[in-house]
Amino acid sequence: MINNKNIIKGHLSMKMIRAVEDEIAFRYYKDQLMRCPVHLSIGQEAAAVGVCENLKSSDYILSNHRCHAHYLAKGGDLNSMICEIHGKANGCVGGRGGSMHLQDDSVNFLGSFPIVGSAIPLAIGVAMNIKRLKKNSIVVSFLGDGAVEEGSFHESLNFASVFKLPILFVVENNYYSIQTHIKDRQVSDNFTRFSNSNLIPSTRCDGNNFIDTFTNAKKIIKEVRKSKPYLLQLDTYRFVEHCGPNSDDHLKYRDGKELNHWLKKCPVSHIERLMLKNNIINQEYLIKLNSQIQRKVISAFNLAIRSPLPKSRDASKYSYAK
Amino acid sequence: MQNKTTYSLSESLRVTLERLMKKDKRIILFGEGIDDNSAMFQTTKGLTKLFGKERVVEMPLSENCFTGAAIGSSILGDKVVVNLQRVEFSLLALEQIFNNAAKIYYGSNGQHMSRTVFRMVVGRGWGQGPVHAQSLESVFSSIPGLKVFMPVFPSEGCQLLAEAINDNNPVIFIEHRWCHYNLEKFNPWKINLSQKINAIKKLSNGKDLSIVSNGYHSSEIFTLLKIFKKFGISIDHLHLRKLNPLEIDAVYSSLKKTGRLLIVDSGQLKQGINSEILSRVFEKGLNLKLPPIRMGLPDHPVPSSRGFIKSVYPNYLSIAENIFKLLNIKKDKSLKIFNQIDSIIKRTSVDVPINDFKGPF
Repeated sequence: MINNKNIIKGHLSMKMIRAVEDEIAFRYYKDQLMRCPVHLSIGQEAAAVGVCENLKSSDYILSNHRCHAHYLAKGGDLNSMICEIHGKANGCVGGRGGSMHLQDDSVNFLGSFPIVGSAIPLAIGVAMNIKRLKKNSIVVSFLGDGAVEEGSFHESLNFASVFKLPILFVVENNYYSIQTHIKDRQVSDNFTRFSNSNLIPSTRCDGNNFIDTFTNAKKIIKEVRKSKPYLLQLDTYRFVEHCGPNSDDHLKYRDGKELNHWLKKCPVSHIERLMLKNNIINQEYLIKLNSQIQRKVISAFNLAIRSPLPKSRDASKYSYAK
Repeated sequence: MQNKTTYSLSESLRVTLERLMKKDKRIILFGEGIDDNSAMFQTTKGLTKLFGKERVVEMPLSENCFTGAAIGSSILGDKVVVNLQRVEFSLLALEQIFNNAAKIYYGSNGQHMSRTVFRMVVGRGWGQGPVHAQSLESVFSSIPGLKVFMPVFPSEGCQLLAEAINDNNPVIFIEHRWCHYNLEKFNPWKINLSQKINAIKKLSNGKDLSIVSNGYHSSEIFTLLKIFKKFGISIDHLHLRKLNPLEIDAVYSSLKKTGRLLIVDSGQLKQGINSEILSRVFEKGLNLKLPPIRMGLPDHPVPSSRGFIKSVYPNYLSIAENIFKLLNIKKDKSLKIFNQIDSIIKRTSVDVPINDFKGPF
């Protein structure tokens, strides 16, 4: 189900995302140039990459506030994203959106919609269009454990099931809605109970394990291509605070044992250890890769820093389409 | 059916949907009960048969989801008409309308469009009550990115609906239930659907007073002014049918002539379209001969029982009284006019649009 080529490609994508977000975190308060809220996916890379590595460029995805990993995993342009987070005119939406409103039509990343649960019905509409026009695509709706509590999620499951839509719901369960643990919000952390009740097949797996996620996603996406909705629950953990670049574990809302459990399960080092152990890659490869990635990341930040801000006279542009 | 000579607004809207859907396969309809026997007050009757269930899609009761779905499929090029039997159902979908439909073009830097029309019906009469009779047009009009159209007369209904569907922006299309019964001699199969119409239509020309109205009141005032004309009272009647973006240059030029202003708004008086119009008139610094008068819905919900109705909606008599006030019309003349108004109030009861109406919606 997974070959070395898939693993090397997935690893590269995860490394890239990690490096980008580490750089955002490092510069965020120091530079004071990314003046918008950022929700980092550090720790959750395997979920985004494990799914997106199974998608074609003609497939669509929609995302939420924690969208950097989804955007990059789908092949979204790095420079446009970093410029957008810097509020620059050459950002992917011209500085109108910021970190939470990424979009890259060239790879069918239709956008991130930061109000929790808001993007799911949009994805349903995309799936209805695909089905009616018999397009050779599917749509993936990325959502989190918080969105599972929204009415739009339940309405959308019913829709997907009734209309037999080519949609994959990927629920990344990082256990926290900001600082509130799932046990205080739901009676169970198993979301397949909702797909079951809507007669939608589902799978739950370790979202920090790239190989598990990839192979499950591969199998599932094959089914979704036959216009059958599916739900994939990926258990994972964010390593930094809900919003912002730092750890907030001094606040003690996360149990120390739980935290250590997940920190040991870092998706990037997990796959890397495995690759080294099986001689898929060697240290030399990693050193070379790290410096290649670093060069790309630094060049994106340099571009963003020297790019111009949008003009204030253009603030009203695009309020109405002609 | 095509040799009829008089059409109601609801018949006209139906014909227009059929004409447009025949020409453009990207147009699809979403709604609850659009394929049942009431067929959205007959406005979608027979369309499923003509265009199939994939284009006329009967929906689960999920206003939030299907509103979002409409926006989602329009991102990929569809033009979706969402049909809501009452304005109030849209309240379950405001997150999608305000956050996504209204902002997707702006937020995507002009790359995505929400080509959506949200048809919403304002109820009135037959005991509709607090949550079946709200006029929320000023709420929608306050959101940048949304357009708001409100048809009253059949032929403009055709043109406004065509313009809304072909617009590249989300359009809130508010239909007053009683306007569905308005009649006009014209042919909706022949009317030009590609011509954009002005936000304001002048329904009568005069020099003594400017009346600005919208919604169902426009048709009431249209009838009322025929009587005033007989008494030599000359009134400029401006019917506002596009509420957002609000273009009211015609009001300024009318006021320069008359210097007197009456606004009859089908929506809430407080913070309504009427308030916005009046603010702009003041900002223009136009000299009015008398303080202007605004009419609209009172600052309480619309009750169900017909016992309350007289003091809820502006009506022929209360509108006429305000015209007398603004024009200083003496009592003997106003009494004569009142007598004539009595003769045009053909409705036997205050809670039905036409005498044939037997309920329930």
